[in-house]
Amino acid sequence: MSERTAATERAGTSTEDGAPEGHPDDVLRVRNLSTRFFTEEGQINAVESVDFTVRDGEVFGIVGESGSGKSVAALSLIDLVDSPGRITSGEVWYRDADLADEFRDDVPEAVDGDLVDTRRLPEGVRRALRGPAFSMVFQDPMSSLNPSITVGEQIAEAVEVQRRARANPRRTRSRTQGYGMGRLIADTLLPNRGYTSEASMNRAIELLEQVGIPDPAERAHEYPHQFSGGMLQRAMIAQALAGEPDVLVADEPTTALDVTIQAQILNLLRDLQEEQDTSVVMITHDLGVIARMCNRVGVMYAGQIVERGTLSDVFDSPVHPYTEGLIGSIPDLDDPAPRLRPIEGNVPSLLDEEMGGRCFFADRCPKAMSDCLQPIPEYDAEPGSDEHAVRCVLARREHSEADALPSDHFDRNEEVRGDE
Amino acid sequence: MSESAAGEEPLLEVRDLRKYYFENDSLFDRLLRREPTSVKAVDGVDLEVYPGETLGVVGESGCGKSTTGETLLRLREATDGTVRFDGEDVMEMSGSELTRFRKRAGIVFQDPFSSLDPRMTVGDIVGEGLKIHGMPEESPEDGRSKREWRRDRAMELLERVGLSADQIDRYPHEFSGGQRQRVGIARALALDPEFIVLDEPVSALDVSVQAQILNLLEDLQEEFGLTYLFIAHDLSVVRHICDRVAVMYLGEVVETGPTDDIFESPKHPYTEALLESVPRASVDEQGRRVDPLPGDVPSPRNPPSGCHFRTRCPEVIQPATVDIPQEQYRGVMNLRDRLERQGFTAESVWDTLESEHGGDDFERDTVVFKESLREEFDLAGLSGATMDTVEDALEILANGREDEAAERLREAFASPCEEEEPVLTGDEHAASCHLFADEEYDRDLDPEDVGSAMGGMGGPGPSPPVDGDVVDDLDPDGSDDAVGTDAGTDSDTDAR
Repeated sequence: MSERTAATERAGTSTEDGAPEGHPDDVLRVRNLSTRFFTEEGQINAVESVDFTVRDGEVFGIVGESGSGKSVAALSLIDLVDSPGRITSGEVWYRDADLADEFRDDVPEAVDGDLVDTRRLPEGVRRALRGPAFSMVFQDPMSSLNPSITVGEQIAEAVEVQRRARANPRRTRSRTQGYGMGRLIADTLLPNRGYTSEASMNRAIELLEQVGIPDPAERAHEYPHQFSGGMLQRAMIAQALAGEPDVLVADEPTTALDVTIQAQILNLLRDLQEEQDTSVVMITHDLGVIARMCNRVGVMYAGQIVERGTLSDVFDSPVHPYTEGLIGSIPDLDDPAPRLRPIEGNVPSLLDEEMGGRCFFADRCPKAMSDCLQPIPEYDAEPGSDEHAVRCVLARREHSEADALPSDHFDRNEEVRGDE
Repeated sequence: MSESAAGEEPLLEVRDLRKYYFENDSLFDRLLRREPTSVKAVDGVDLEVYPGETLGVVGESGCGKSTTGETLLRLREATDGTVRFDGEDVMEMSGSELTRFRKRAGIVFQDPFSSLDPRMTVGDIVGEGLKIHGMPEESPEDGRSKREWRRDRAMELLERVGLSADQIDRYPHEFSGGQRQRVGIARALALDPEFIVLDEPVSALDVSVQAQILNLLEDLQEEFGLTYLFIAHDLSVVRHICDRVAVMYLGEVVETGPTDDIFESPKHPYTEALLESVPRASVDEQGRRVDPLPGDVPSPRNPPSGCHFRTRCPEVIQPATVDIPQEQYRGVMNLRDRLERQGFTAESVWDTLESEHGGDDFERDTVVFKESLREEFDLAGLSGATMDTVEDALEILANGREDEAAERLREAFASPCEEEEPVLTGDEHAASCHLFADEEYDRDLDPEDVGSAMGGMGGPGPSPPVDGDVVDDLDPDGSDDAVGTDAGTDSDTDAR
């Protein structure tokens, strides 16, 4: 039996002991991660029982359309999900021998060899991991940097947080954390109570130079609006590098940029990743970016990773009809195909009551069968490498017309629900 | 520039279209006698669109492609230039003529979230144009009221673009992005136009939905015999849907031609770089390193002289007196550009050096200064006279005299590309680049001095003095020369 997890339970509260099995090079193993948003309209299952691993020094890609939950998955990874969202279950095993030693006695269930389940560590420790262990490059550099602080100071601040953290681990406070009336008055009256020091500013300039910003000393004193989009994205990367992270999460790092600038940023990310042996989780909707950058890929749809494997598993021998559809939807630059083969319909809403216990893609799937009306676990897929796994019944059986769902199956269900 | 491929008259003909925006142009500025500064969003664009075809306009953000689309429909008033639609001058139209033009030419906007009025139902949105143009002109014969006729027409259109007719009373927020874009397309179709400007119609959509919309647009074109001007930044979409393509950079068309020619044998270095940069969705792409264009697009407030692309061009032409590897010439040009146009100062280099050496005890050493610049601008491999000039300039720069250093470099390294603006040359597949102008009016450069990347400069007019044997080479190409120049002057006359 090749079912890898017990992800079939929709509530997803499985708590197994120890870290999941994986490759010895894994720096990160994520199991059964679920994130829900509790909104007025109802519960939204943004991330639904996601499993994946990230190896040392590789680029792992997560690709999906908007609303597929890929950004929320990234935020969940580094514990940045805000209310009304909450990570409802899951384990994030991170390889760090020192951290493992530290917590082996206090929280034994969170430690397995060198791996530590960060979800079971205290909040303060998770916070301290942001920076030296995980850091993030956000999608829109224009709105992710503070417009009223110079770029250099914002990066120096990140450097300063790391410096203070090294001196006194578990006590990382940013400038704004716990900022109250008292500190406001003190800062106003005493002009020299700056958060950053000259050393951290120099380090910031060095980082800016490292990411290829010309005249770093001068540009460091400029404000974000004085930078172009590509330069700001470089500055964001510099900020993310301040803590020398093991895992860099890049959430659509080039989506807001033009192709020529995108090429610059992708080269930069690759150089930095190779020089510093960082692992990168690359989140994007652009299959071309995935193809250029990634070693292994996960395809997300409606909060689930529906297919994962090496680049050639996913691109050359996809099993899931969604993956096939996604690849068939993009026009090929080198060969103008006569007709695109789009996926019909739209991305589902992810509202809990509308999801139902079935394959979430079944309502758009050209090969939907009666087997698809139950929750689908992750299966090993035949073609390709050992890594290739897919959440689709087609991995176990051939498509047959006899079992095919009538084309109006889901329309009828909708009507029934509407009548109620 | 190109003569009609099919020998037809173009449906839309744009000549030397310009759209400048002015800053410091208020009454207050005039009282203070401040000179208005212009932002040249569109700076002399020529286009033809033939009936039934799709012309793609591609370029990076800020290159003026959307402004071109809106200006040629007169949604913005042009600063200069002519637009002829089916033989009539759009810029001169007024009153009923303009109303008739509006009926024949429509637009689909980029962002389906902000281009639909949230307070109108989609039925009203689609039918609004019909109402404005007083359609139907006469009461329908089957006894429906005009209002009912418009409503039925809107339903028909919604069905045609793949929505269902019973969604007619819904509001835009009830639809997804792809569905809204379908509403926008239905609105553009309502008046039965011949020509539609599609301003990035799919760039806000997910790939699976994007493919649906592209297929829909192709079907509609076939069914209604539409002519499209398709504005996009996504080259693979352009390749898929367009018959001909115009590539824009900083307000100008740098290359135009049939889609296959542009994609398979691009002429202009900018087009080549664009194509090279696009990540392909295939396994072969893994780990492919591209040589990206350096730097950012220059500001349209102060576009570079001559060829606008010369500040980033990997094949910028060296003057006859210089023969150094292209990377080093690029480095010299980058240094000059930074000095002349971007306010680069020696002080900022010292600051950087100081922070690198960590602190106040750093002594200002010219050798270190020059070394760091040589490294930054790839100047290390120079030798001979060029090295002396560059060393000289660096020395001057280290002493804080930026203007003088720039002047020094300009004297020795001024490129033909910065002195003369290239014109679009070539017939069907034309590029505006001195590398190609070369063939038409060759100006002699000793072949030994000229690397493969070099050529003469385009066009007659004032040019830097070159050796005496210019005439020799001009003669055999005399006829070509005339064609190239004629094309240039023609468009000038048209503009007037």
